[in-house]
Amino acid sequence: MSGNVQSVERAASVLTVLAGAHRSMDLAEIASAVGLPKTTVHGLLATMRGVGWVEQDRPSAGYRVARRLSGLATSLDPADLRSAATPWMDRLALDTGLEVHLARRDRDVARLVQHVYRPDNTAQRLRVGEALPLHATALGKVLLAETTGAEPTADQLETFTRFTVTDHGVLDEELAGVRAEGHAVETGEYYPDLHGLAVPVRGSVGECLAALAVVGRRDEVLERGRAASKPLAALVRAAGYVSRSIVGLA
Amino acid sequence: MSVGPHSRRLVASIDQGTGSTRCLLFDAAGRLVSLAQREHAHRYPRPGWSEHDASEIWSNVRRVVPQALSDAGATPDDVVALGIANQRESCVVWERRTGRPLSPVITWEDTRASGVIEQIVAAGHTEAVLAATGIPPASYFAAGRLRWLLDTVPDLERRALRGEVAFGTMETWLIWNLTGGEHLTDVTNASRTNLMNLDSLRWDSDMLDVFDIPEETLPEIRATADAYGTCAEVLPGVPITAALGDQQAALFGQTCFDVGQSKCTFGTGAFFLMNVGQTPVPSRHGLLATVGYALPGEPPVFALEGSIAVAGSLVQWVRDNVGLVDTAPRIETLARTVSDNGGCYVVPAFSGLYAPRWDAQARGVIVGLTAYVTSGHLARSVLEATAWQTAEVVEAVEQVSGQRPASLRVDGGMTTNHLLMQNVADVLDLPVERPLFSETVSVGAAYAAGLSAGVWPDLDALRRLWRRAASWQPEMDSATRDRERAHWAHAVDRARGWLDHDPAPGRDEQARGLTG
Ligand SMILES: Nc1ncnc2c1ncn2[C@@H]1O[C@H](COP(=O)(O)OP(=O)(O)O)[C@@H](O)[C@H]1O
Repeated sequence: MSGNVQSVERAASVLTVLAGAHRSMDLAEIASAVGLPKTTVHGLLATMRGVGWVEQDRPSAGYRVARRLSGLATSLDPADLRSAATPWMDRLALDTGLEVHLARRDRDVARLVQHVYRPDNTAQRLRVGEALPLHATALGKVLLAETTGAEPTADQLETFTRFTVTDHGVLDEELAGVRAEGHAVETGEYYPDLHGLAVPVRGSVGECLAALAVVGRRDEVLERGRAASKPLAALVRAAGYVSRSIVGLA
Repeated sequence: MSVGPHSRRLVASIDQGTGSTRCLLFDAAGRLVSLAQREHAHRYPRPGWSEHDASEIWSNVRRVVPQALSDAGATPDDVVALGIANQRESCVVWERRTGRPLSPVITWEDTRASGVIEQIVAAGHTEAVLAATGIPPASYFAAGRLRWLLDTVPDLERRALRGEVAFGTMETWLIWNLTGGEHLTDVTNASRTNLMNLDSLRWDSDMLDVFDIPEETLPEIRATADAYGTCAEVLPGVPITAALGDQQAALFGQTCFDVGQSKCTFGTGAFFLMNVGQTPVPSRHGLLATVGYALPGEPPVFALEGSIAVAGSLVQWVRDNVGLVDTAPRIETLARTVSDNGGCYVVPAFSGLYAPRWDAQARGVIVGLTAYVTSGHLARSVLEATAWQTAEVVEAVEQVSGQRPASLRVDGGMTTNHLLMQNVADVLDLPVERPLFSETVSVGAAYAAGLSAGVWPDLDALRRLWRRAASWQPEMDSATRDRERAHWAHAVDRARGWLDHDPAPGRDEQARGLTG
């Protein structure tokens, strides 16, 4: 193999690692993840930054895939996202009997992009556009775990109910769990009687574009304190369909 | 997705639309089990002409139905009934002996029959046609097309008189092919031909004379939910138990079974239909009296229909021809960059003004422009055009029928636009509701079929299947509404009679049919 091809391969593996991380990584982390010397990786990163494939917030900060490339997260229009997602959200509501939410990260809040009522014809209010706290909702926790942005400071961890997690250490542990398990659980942390499950909606390079959630009573979404398997499976499936229908929209 | 080996009591629907043919399967809880669809070619051989190929559409049915079954892990044995909804007014003729089409499908958009209609109008038949069929003579309806075919296709009239030719709208064509030769239509489709008497719900002999149509070519008219025969092809053994036009299917799918209940489908155009009960309300102000649905052994239920030719297509136009936005949904994002229309109004009278103003000489205008107006204001006024056109139709329906709907049920591609739906609620001063499943045309065909096959016992059971997915409450104060209505009316005045001032007369500006 010629040297050229090898460097393309190496660059691709660096990009794959960065895209899969859904956060910025520093040079040492990247180098160990791809199994290459730091000097080599540094050269690759510098070249890729030069052509606009990777970005750094500040010269000394970690690296991440350029938004332009990972593309959708920043350029995806919320109205496009809503149009593409709605048929799948409708089906999810019908399949689970639960209320369905779709949200995007908007700096330090989760912004509701679409809302499908609990399908029981009870009086409900459309909540599109509403801001939800990142640390106290399933949607917010997925977005916090999977996207970068201003992290909430300690005094922003507002207490809504006696179940709200307000300790950074506990929250970080939970977010690690969200990343490991692929879903977040809400158990009365925002409203005491509201429970929910959320999963990421991913773009073409695995980046998190939005979060999709089902919301209902405790016994509807939880089994022995964990995500109930049926609604979770329906949610994961729906998020997959939404991903497929938005990739290429931006 | 398969649930078990025993028969699953699925209801199938075929929606034969303008752009595609789709098959959907529903379970007894009204849940969608699978969906398959296929587009067909659209030909515009001359200005004003619009055609499909009937054989292609039939072969698409033969593909999408098995596809939907296999996606659901089902067989024809699992299907208890089939319902068909179709693009209305599009029609075709074929040879009875072979089932071979003798013409293209001439679609509802096609205006080639305007000469036929002009003659009928010139002969003074307008009032008689209106009185008998509930609708004025127009090239939009099917009878003129059939007359045009009889005049134009070599030997067709002679063979028609010998009973060798069958005519049909799209549901008739599909039923013929599915059953192997049943020649049937339903009242809702027949009510859009200019040939069915709206009181007797039979072919009207005077109208057959006026349009000079040999009755031998026409199908038999059945109720909406009725026995249409058993499929020999595609779904062997499955009874066809409902057929209806697409907008009526949407009314049925929205379960608008009570007088005053209404739905509006916001797609390329917008179609408002209100259930007016068991007595037809005469067509006036460009609104159309039409059959909503008819159940066997029960009096038919009528609807008043108002069509808006340009709704989503205005968004498409600013996307494709103006480049204001890259995708249709982004019109909302752009509109949200400002808080009002900045004094700008768009009247999309691309081919005249329809219900309730009815002015074929009108053309589109953008008015109220000042240096202050931005693309955001323009985006707002594009959306408001759909809201105001809807409001005018609803106001006309109120005037003509004496009924004000209590709420509006909406469906179609534009209903994911929250700004528009809020605006519709605001200018109508009515709550707007979106049901969970926006494929209301297919849902309506399935409901009617399942009702007639006994999957659902009665209309109440269907009503209970309707689920609200979203709702918008009116928030605009009446002073603002009145002021904006006056501005809109002022803008519409600017659009009226535009062609009357055309300095280059003699352009072929045919007044099209009644609606677009
Ligand atoms: N979010 C939106 N906002 C405004 N217009 C939209 C939106 N989504 C779709 N449209 C418009 O709606 C139309 C498509 O709706 P659809 O119900 O699929 O139409 P049809 O069934 O008539 O083909 C297009 O004209 C498009 O411009």
